[in-house]
Amino acid sequence: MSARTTFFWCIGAAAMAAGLFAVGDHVRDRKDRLAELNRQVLAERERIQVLRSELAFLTQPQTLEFQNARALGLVPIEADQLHRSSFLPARPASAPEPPRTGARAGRDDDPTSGLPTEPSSRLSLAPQTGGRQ
Amino acid sequence: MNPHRSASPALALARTRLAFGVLAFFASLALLSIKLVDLGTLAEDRPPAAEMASSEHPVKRGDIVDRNGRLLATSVVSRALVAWPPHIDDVEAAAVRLSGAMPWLSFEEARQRLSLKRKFVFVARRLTPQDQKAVLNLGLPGIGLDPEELRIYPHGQLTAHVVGRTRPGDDGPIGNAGAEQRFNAILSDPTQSVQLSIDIRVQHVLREELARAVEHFSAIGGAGLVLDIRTGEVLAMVSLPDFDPNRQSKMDESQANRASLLVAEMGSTFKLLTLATALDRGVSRLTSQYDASAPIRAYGHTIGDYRGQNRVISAAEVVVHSSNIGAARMAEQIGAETFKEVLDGLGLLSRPALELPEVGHPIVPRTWRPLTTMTVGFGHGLSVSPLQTASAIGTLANDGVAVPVTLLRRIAPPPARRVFSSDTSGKIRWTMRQVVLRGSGSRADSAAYPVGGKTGTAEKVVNGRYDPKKRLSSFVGVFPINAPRYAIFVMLDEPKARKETHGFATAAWNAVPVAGAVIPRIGSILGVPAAGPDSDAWMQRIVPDHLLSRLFKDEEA
Repeated sequence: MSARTTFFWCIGAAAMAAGLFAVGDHVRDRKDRLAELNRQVLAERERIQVLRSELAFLTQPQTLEFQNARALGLVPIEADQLHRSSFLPARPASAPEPPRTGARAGRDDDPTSGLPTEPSSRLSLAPQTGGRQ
Repeated sequence: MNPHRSASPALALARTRLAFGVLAFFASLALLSIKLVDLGTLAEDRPPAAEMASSEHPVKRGDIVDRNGRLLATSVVSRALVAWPPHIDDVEAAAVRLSGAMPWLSFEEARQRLSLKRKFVFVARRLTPQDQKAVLNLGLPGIGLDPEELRIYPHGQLTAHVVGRTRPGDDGPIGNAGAEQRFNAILSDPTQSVQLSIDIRVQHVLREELARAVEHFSAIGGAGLVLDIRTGEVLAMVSLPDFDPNRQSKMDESQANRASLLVAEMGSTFKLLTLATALDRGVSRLTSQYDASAPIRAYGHTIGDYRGQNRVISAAEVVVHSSNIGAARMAEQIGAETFKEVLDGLGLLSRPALELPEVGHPIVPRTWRPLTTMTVGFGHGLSVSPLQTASAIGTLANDGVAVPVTLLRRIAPPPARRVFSSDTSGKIRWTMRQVVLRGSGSRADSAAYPVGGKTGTAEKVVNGRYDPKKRLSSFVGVFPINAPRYAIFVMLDEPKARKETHGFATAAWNAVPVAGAVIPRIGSILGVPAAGPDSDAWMQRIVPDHLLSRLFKDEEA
């Protein structure tokens, strides 16, 4: 084996060693990054778990009752406010078709039915939102 | 002598030495290069970083949630104060500094822990973030923080007996009571969680009203249950006094689960079972007559009524007026074998299969004498738990179909087994409604929901004798009785009479009002619509109004 061949083999070996080193170093960096991400995930999970626990503490029924009495004054729903859907009467066969315009039609149970009509500028938006004139 | 010849060996020696030196240098350089390449490319002399990170997570236990997903038990990461005693230079000084930084840790306790002849010791657990910071600031050699799993119960006492508690173990918390113990194997997998049938809102209402009654009537304890009789799910289970599972304190006997572990003679609530058996087996009809004009003397004992009618009464009146005499005669008619067969079918003679370690075995008489049949007819001589009683009455109201009780949220249809006919169930529901309309259960009725039920007041056995001053008063009810869906059981342990109860300490005065307060509150939570004005119309199909006079003496007047 000539000196030149030996030289090229040495250069090749050195280049491969350097390449191998670079790849190994890159892999190690990636693994460190993965470990860091895992640590972050675990830390986030820990924080989420703590937040869930705090939420559960803060939404204890007695706490909600106290806060409601202090700030809101809401009252529990009464039994006569509950009805089954079967309680609703069936629509009569002769009932007119509901209007198909974009404008809202007043209904007996619509709390806004007695209010002044909406501004025409809003009604004019109906065709653009898919309504039919 | 030639000087060149004389110098040549020395030069050759020097050249040889130089060659060896150069060779050794390059050999060392080659070794270093090889090692460098090895370290940089091939060597794995540390654990994979990702695995190292994942193995650090200390939470190894799953959550327990209620039927709506509300958190009942969960784990968070805490830090423990730990020490490696061989690495501590001055134990006394370390103990002084630790107790100085954390005043709750005494010097003696710290010194004792740090002096242990072990490689590793726990000095204190559950450090607050402030304490953790203080320890890190001290920077003591051989002292550190170790992550550990901390089990917490956001609702504290509210679900204590159901959820249970844990104790610290080598590999995380270990369940040692309630669902924590029963489902320990499942919960040991952090990816698993257990969903209970409990509704925390119903639980809160029941506990609040029961606690109020326990305090008001100076009772030593109480128990409450709400069951969905169609699915067998336990929606609420309360036992008082309870405990805070967040605190690792020792429990005493008074804190045992009275709802499922306690077994006792339930008293008059059993009369519903006696009547149901008699009706179902054709032994009796609602109009059948029983002589309750005088106490029964049988087998050396006397059976009398608490507030006797002192006349012949109908089978319906036996329950509505709670006649021990009538119930004993009815049970005698049924016969021991038939009665035992039905009680067994209702699950009253064996331990219920509820998913809790704290479930009591009923106390069944070893020898079932004729007198036993008579006394069991009015709820004495057989000790069962409140859970069994509520479940049995639920079966009566659920069209006579028994559904096993469960503490887990039920998704699939439950296994069902018919114990009584639909006709018998209707008659029993009618009788339960009559108890509320004209008997001792009137304080349980609700304007929104028609309720049916039965009271029971039993004297406790103390040193082998009934003590008239120590009573268990209870009420078991079903609502809405026109379309039965939920069973409620309320029991007070040794309630005392009060001025407004006119000296009475019976269930009608103390347990029934609790149910009366709970039912309207939980009815809307459970989405039960209010019954209309004709909610009692169904009763006409069971007993038309014109026949009431044949059943009730007072109806004639």
